[in-house]
Order: sequence, then C-alpha cells, then structure tokens
Amino acid sequence: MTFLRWLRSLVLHRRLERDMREEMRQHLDRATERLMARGFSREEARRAAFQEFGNVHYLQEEARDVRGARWLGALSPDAKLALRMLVKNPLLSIVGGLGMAVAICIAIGFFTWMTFYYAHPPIADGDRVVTAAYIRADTEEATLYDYLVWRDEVTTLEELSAYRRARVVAEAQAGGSNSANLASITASGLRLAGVPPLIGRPLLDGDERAGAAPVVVLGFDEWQQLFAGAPSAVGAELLLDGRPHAVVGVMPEGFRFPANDGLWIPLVTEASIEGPDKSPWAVVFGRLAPGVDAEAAVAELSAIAGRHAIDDARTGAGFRLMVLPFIRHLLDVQQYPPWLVWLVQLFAALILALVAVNVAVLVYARTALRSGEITVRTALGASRARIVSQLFLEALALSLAAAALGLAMAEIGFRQMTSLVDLQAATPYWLFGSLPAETVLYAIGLAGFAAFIVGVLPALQATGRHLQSTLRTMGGGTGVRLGKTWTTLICVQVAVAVGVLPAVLGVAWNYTPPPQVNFPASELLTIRVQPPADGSPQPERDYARLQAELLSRVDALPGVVGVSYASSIPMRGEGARVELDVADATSMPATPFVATHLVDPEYFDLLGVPLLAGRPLNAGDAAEGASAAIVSRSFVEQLVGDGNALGRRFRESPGLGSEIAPDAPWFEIVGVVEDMLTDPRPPGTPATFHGAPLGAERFSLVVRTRGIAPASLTGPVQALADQVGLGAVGVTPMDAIYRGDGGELRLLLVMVGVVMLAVLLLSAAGITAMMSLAVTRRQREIGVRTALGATRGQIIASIFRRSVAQLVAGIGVGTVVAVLLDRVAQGEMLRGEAVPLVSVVCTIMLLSGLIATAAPARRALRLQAMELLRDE
Amino acid sequence: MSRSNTPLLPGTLELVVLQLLQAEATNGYDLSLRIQAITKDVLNVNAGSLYPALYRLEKRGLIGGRWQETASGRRAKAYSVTNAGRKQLADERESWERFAGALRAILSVT
Repeated sequence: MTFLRWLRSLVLHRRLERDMREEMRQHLDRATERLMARGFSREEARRAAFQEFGNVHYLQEEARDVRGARWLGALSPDAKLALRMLVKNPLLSIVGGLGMAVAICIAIGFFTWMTFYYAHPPIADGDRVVTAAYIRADTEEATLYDYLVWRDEVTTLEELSAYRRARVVAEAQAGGSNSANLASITASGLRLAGVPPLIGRPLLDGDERAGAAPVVVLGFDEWQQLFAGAPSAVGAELLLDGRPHAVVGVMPEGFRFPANDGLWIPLVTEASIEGPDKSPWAVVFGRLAPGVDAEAAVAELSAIAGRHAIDDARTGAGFRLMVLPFIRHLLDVQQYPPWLVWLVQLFAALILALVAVNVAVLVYARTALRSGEITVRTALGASRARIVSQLFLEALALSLAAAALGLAMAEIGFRQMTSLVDLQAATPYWLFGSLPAETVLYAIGLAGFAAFIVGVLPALQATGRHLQSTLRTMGGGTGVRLGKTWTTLICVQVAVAVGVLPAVLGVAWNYTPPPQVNFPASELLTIRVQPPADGSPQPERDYARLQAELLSRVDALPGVVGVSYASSIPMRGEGARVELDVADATSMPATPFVATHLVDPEYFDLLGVPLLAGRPLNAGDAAEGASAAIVSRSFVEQLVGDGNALGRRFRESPGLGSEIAPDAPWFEIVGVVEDMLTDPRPPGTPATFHGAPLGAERFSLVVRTRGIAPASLTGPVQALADQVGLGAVGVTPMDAIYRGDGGELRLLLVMVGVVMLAVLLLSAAGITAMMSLAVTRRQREIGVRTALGATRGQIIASIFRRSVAQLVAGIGVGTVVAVLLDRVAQGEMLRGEAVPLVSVVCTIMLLSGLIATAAPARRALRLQAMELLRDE
Repeated sequence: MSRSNTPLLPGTLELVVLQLLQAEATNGYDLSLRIQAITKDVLNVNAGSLYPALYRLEKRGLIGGRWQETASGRRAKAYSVTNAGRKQLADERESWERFAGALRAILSVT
C-alpha cells in the first residue's frame, strides 16, 4: 500500500501540488473575509490572515515533506537543467548521443535475437509445442512416414501433427488473385493451435482421407484480398495453382500458424506414402503431454521408430532424434547453446561500455571546464551526492535520448529485415513486425548503465579532489588536471578506430556497388532439391534417373522455355581455396578463395551469361574425371593478371576451411564467362564452374519461363518433385532472391556507414575536447611564452605537437592491431587490400584529429598575454 | 485560566482531527474554526500544524479529501474519516482515556 501511495504521489505530483496551493489560498481568502467582517480594511485583513496562517512557503515545504514529494520538487529543476545542458552543448549531445545510439542499437539487436531463442508461438501452451526430427549438423529430417508411425502410438506428445509449406498462386472466381503462403497441414495441427475459425469450420480429420473433396481454410488477409471480406467466401471455389478447392472457413485476423501462412489445406497423408524410402519430408510437431519433458518424448519416439525400422539407418548415418522447441525449426538457431547466446549479449553490452567510456572522456572534459561552477556550488553547501546526481541526470537525459534514437534505428532495421524475410514462408508470424516490448525495457536499462559511466564516473573524479585548490585558482584555469588516463584514452580511441575501421571499410568496399545481375532474374524460378529424406544412402544412379525424370517433366510444363541444373542456385556458390599452376606473386592475395559451382553444360546458355573467351563446357566436360573448367572475369583479373588465362591450370580445396590436398586434381581453364553474383560472398568474388553430370546429392534446378510469372510454377514443380520421389525444399523465384540480397546489402551498407560516422565523430570530438581542455589549462604558460617573445608559429607548433603525438601513437598501435586482426582472420578481413584500406583510415583519422585541434589552437592564438598575466 | 495559546499535548492533534471529522466532514479552514469554537478558544491550532496533520492522515489513508462546493458557493476540499481512520480513532480514544484516567487518579491524590 505504501508503495502504491508513493506511486500515486509520483504520478499525481502536479495535481497534488495544485490542490495544496488552492486549499491554502482558500483558507487565506476566508480568513481575510472574516477579518474584514470585523472591520479590518482589505489590506489589514490580508496581512493579519497571513500572520495567523504562518509562512506559506515553509508550510508548503512541510506539506511536501509529509507527502514525501520534496525530492520531486528538487528533481524538477535538475531535470530542466539537464535538458538545457543538452541543448547548450550541441556538439557533445549530437556526437555522444549518436555514438551511444549506434551502440545501443547493436546491443538491442543482439538482445532481440536472443529473445527469439526463447520465443514460442502465441497459442495455448505454446511453450510446450515442439518439433521432432532427425538432426545431423545443420540438416534436419522428418518424413510423413515418420509422422504416421509415431501418430498411432505416441503418448508423450498430444495432437501430433505434420505440415509442409509452399508458395502458391490463389485465384478466386470473383477475380481476386494473389500469391500466398500455403500450409498443407493435418487437422490436428489446427486443433493444437486451439484458435477457432472466424467463420465456417476448420480442417477436419475426414478432409485428409484420399479421395476427399479438396478444401481450403483462408487466412484473414487472404479472405480480404481474394473475397473482399465477403461472408459468402465460405462455400466458394478457390483455385490453388489452378486446382479447385472449396473454401470451408476463415481464420481470425493475426492467425498465421504454423509459420507465416495464409492458406491451409489438408495434408493427405495416406495417399502420399508408398514406404519409408519414398516418403516426402514434413515438419512433425506436437504438444508435450502434461508432466512430460523433451527427453521422455525422444525416448518414446525412438522406441517407436526402432520397432518400425526407421531409426537404424539414420542413427547409422550420424543423425540423432531430437525434440526441440517449435521456434527452432523456423529460425536457424538450434546450433547455438544458450551460454553462447548470453556471451554474445555480454559482448554487445561491452561495445556500449566502450562507447560510453568514449563519451565519458567528452563529458569529463566539459565537467572539468565547469569545475568553477561545481566548486562554488560545493562552497554554498551543495553535497557531493547532490552534484553527482545532477551530473548523472544530465548524462541520463543524453543516454535516454540516445536510447530512443537507438530504438528507432533498430525498429527501422527490424522492419527492413522483416520486409526481406517476408519473402519466405518460414518467417514466424509472431516474431516480426515490431520490436518486442522487453527490448524497449532493455534499452532503458542500457541507457541507465551508459548514464552511470558517462555521468557518475567523471562527476566523482571532478568532485573528489582539488576542490580547495580550484577555489584558490579560480579565474586562472580549470584547476582539474588533465590526467594521463584521459590522454591514454584518446590514444586508445584512435588506435581502436584505426584497428577496426579498415575491416568495416573493407566490407563496404567489397559490397559496393549494389548487385546488378546480368541474367534475366524475372524469368527464372529456382528449385533446391534434396534426396529422399529417410537418411539411408541411395545408389548414385537412382538420383541421376530421378533427377533426369524431374528435369524432363518440368521442361514439359506450359510456359517453360528451358531447364538447367547446378550444384547450387545462381548467386549461391560453395567457397573453396584455390591454387594456380604458376602463381603470380605480385597480383595474388596470400590466401585466395573462390566460389565454386558444379553446373550443367547448358547452364550459361539458359541464363544468357556471355562467354568472354575460350569455349563453353560440353557434355564430355561433365563426365567423371573431366578436367575442363570455366572461370569468371574476376578470377582472371584478380588471380591470373594480364596474361592469357586459357590453358592455365588450377586446383581447389574441398571447402573454405580445408587445405588443398597434395593429390587434388588440376583443372584446365577452357573458357571465361562474365561475372555473376556469388552471394553470400561479395560481388566480384572469383568463381569457377565445373561440368557435372546428374546424380550429385546437391542439386538445384533453374527454370526459365516465358509469358508466365515464375512463381505460378511453384505448386506444379513441387508436385512433380513429390511424384518422382524428390522433395523440393526451396522453390523461389530468382528475382525474389535477388531483391532479398540487394536489400540485405543496402541494409549492411547503411549500418556500416552509421558505425563509421559514429566512430569518426567520437574520435574527432574527443580530440577537440581534450585539446581544448589542454589549451585552457596552459593559458598562463602560453601567456608567459607570448610575453617572452614566442612567435605565433611556435605557439601553434606547441599545441599541435601534443595532438600529433597522440594521433601518431594511436595510429601506430591501431595499424598493428588492424594487421594482426587480418592475420588472425587469414586475410578475410582486408582481403589483400590492407595497404589502401589502412592508409585511407589513417589519413581520415589524422585529418580529423588535426581539424579537431585547429579550433583550440585558434583560441590559444587569440589569448592576450597581458590580460592573462594581469589575471595572475 | 488563560483562554488562548494552550499548547496541544504531543500526538493529540491527530486524535482531535479524527474525532471532529468523524462527527462531520469538513474543510481545513472550518475545522480550525470548529476547534476554536468547541474549546472556547482554549485550543488554537494554527494552519502550520493543521495542514501537515491533515496531509499526514491522508497519506496514511485514515482520512480522504474530496473537492466540493460549500454553502457559500466556494470550492473547498472536504475531509472525511475512512474505515481505517475510524478504527484508528477508536484505538486512540481508548488509549487516551486510559491515559487520562491514570492521570486523573494521580492528580486526585492529596
């Protein structure tokens, strides 16, 4: 109750104050009237009433004490002063605020990611909803066959369900048409969600039977878009990739379970299963029964799987059955243990601490200049705590403003990211849209933490010592000495900037300009195909036959003008180290790497990527043991140099992390093609292309269309992949991938730009502040030297000498740090461009440092010797 | 006996305020007049003591204040005793009567 009353007085502070003053005014008015009625004049009556009442202000203070609100009254002017100081020091406010905002933005970015780790779907007992799958490294497998086997016997999981996702084109008879995320889901999946439909009915078990009439349940948005929200939608017909389905229900607004889905059709399980080897993949999920944990569920599911002989092959191949929180299959987070997540979070908070220390340098410099004011306030009776709390409030005002800006930046970044990942159906609908509420609380906590470093530490130092001597020397200088600590901090700051910025600049350099694709992305559909997902090894010829069948079936679809295949979809390659037969030591980076692709000989023809030199690959180059290869223009420019690339030989490592084996085969360059984007590596990454026959485990299709939207083939291609026994795991239009990559690059560039600007501004402002303080402290010395005949040049030289010494020390250490970091990262950070990148950053830092010193130097020159000495 | 400036015993102001407000809800000014009138000017509680006492009782939840219009058409904050205040008053009265009885017994000793 006491706390509630305190809270009330805090919230109602202004109203209680107004009431109190009004009440006392009424009292005085009535007393005045009473006395006037006794014959006093108005003035006399008023005076007498005041006498009778006592000291009003004193009484009001007493009343505030009673209410416990006196401190609020005292706080108010402090808060106002804090805001005034923010406006009065625009440089400090902008630079310090921006620096902290960027750091807070980074920290809350990590924090938000961490909250995802623990997030669960917003349905009843959502925290107990789990998936069951066989997992090896980052490969996750479960099939409809597994689901059927488990469903009939499992007791540890309730409402065991399965679903598959696809993107389909939905067309209503009324004319509405849209592409939407579709979940083929068992009726139990919607029962588990526990959300009743807005109108109509949900999916029922009967809908899953083979031969049942095809039905669909609409999401709220899809209902609005396709049927303009008309209730008559229920019962109407909807074409999904051209196949008619009867609409039986509409789900309420905001419901997009299980991932980000807007259409639900029954998963016709029985009809899909021919046996464990032929079963399509599916996500299997359910709710842990009361009192059951994941371990018990794993034990039971393993036992059931063992009885049906679907366990051994997988465990033999290194797969392990796992029951994991539902979120894990939607976000790629299962490989991170919780302690690592917390460690990353701690690291992010440390970045903020580093920036806050930087800002503290600035604040300290300013606090030192205000030491006269602090001393006078102390002499007038202000306690040390009072002054420290005032300085803390000033810092808090700044850090709260920074937190607000950081949150705004994070929100913009988050929305940007959401719009990018929305392209994929796998985005959990309950995570994206806006930053979670706990993130806002965390940002406020960070602001307090930063305010402590920025405000309290310099305040304790400024109020702790020298007060007496400051009082004595007031008017002649700042009194607060410029400690070695702060000078060292400036050097460290420059060193950190020089150490880290080249890598940041390198990223920006490598990813600029934004990608331009030189193939008709808007006409292409990409399909990633994975082998039958039962974990058992398959004879290679089986793959070849199945893949060839899929290729010919897809080629026969209407609107398709050509089909090709590769080990990965365009713009996605496998990283590898590369070695040339005769390395050109002058032009080659120490550890060159390339993006390597296995491709169909027809690949470049289909994509329309021009051959610049040599010959294309032919069928013979795709045979086992063939040695011909094609390389990209960047490969030639960066690794071969000016000489003729054709006929040169190279060999590769199996992956980025492995060395090139001594017996690795040599490949001969027979042709050169124009660069294609090879994300996730930067544009302009050297690429190699080897001919490959069908039959490899990794298999991606590229379909070129004409006259139809590539997305409209998603459903038919998925169906064909199922029919031939190959599960298509990612069917995505190429321009969606291209747009997504472009968006990510732009976001990355904006982030890099903001971080660089913040670091540069902080360093420059730190140097300005410290130099300014140094000039103020040396006023008398400068005065004496001027009086003794020192020239302007000598005065300027003495000012700049100190600044240059700090800058050179910082730059020296920073250069060593940059080179060491690059060594540790095996050349990945600066990618062979250490000299230009480090030079650019050193020049920028040196120039900004010198410019930052110019203003204090000009002030020193304006100091009049006689005035300074007279002050003495 | 002097008719004015008789100080209140420490701790009795709250008892006085609670008792009078239980009898009739009223504002601070009228309350001070009532104390003077009832005690025939023996007790003169000035505003400097009265208002802090009112705020203290209000903060402890023993009385509650509400703005309302008086008979003369003014707005005034009228205080009334809460349930907790009534219980507190009963306790304090009992304690006071015990104290006064004991004091009377001592003063009757001749």
